[in-house]
Amino acid sequence: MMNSGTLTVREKNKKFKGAGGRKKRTKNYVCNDSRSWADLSVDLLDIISNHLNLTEFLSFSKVCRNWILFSLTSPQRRSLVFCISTKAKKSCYLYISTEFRYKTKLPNFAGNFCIGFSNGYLIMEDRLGNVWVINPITAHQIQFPPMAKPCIAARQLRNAASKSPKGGNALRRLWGWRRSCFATFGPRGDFLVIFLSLYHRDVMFCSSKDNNWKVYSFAYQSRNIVDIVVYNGRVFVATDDCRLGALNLGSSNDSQTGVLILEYSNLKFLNGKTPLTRA
Amino acid sequence: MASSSSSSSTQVKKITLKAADGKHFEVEEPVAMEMETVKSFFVGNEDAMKDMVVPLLNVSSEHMPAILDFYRNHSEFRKRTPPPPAEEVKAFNEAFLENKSDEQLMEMIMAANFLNTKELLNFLTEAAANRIKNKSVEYVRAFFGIENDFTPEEEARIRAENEWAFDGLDED
Repeated sequence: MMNSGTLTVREKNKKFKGAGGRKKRTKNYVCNDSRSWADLSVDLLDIISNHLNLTEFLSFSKVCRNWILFSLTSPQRRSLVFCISTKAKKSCYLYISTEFRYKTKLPNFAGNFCIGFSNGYLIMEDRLGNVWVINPITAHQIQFPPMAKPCIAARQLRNAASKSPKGGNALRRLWGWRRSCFATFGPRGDFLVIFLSLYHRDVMFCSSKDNNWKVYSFAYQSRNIVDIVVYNGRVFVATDDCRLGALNLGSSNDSQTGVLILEYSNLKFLNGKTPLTRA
Repeated sequence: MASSSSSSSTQVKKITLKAADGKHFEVEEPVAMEMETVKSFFVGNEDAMKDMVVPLLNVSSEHMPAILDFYRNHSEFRKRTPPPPAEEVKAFNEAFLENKSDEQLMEMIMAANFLNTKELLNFLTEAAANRIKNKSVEYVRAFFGIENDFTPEEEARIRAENEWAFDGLDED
């Protein structure tokens, strides 16, 4: 945990150069007043913040300019890695680089599936097609209605997959969601969860506005969706003919649902090749 | 102050340390050597120990007795052959922090940093972290006397950042 050793050493050497002409330094030395918690040096902030957990650290970084500047360069600020054991009962681990490890306990974790991680939330599903999202830090949960189309075939595949050692890959290729997104947006904290399945060639989504699962199928459309992303409450898609589009989820009328292609010139994926389209 | 009981053959050597405000402290050699800063002062120059006064520019005399006390006790804890029960160490540490204001705590952290002793520094910074834990940003500011130096716009933006890590989605 202590990764500040080198810093402290450097500090010491610096001080020691000064100690040679110590008479001068002692005179100028002011014992108090110039010190405050806000002006703590980086190495001290580093050591102190090592004792904080993730939420505390994020809160810590909001106190003042000096502290936020420190936190922006701190290794704790690096990307977060989740590690969920297949045998996990109640907890998963969060890693930040290799130095920090946090353990988080979550309700309803055992025996269920994490089908995505999006916007700070784990997207969870159980065998009955119930879907919920959970924040691994705060344990805040949002429950969605049961899926309109709990895919039995998929579940059978999944059971088969769990029995064979190579099943994980087969599962992902045949059935798995290519992408699952959860997003919050708008002043009222509306939220949306959306799944893209390459196998079924459809997009399933449920938003807080109508609290119901809807399906947009592109199985008979001229272009396939290969990836989706949610930004500011809008769903953007990449298609297999190398275009970007916006997906209209059709708030009330299903006939409006569809992909509106956004025109960008010179757009190339994967060195001009068509992205992977087959499930 | 531990008495200079010359236990075996030689008298325990003393080293004189000078605090920032000029006060002198006579310290037994092993205790003084707990401080890396003091130790490195004498590296390759062991003879100088007798008549050298080590200036500690960043340590005020107010905190010297407490800091020396910490070194004495903890080096004693380390030497004991069945290691002392955790409660004893904990009790000492708690007593050490009792009646220490945040300002004193911070000054001691700076002192420990200057003296370059990992054990004391680690202990004190943990104490500081414990005082921050589970506290709101406003509380931490007020507690440590930190001025809010963000503009209202910056404050709002910073607050919105990493919101997912804090309780609830719609917390205001």
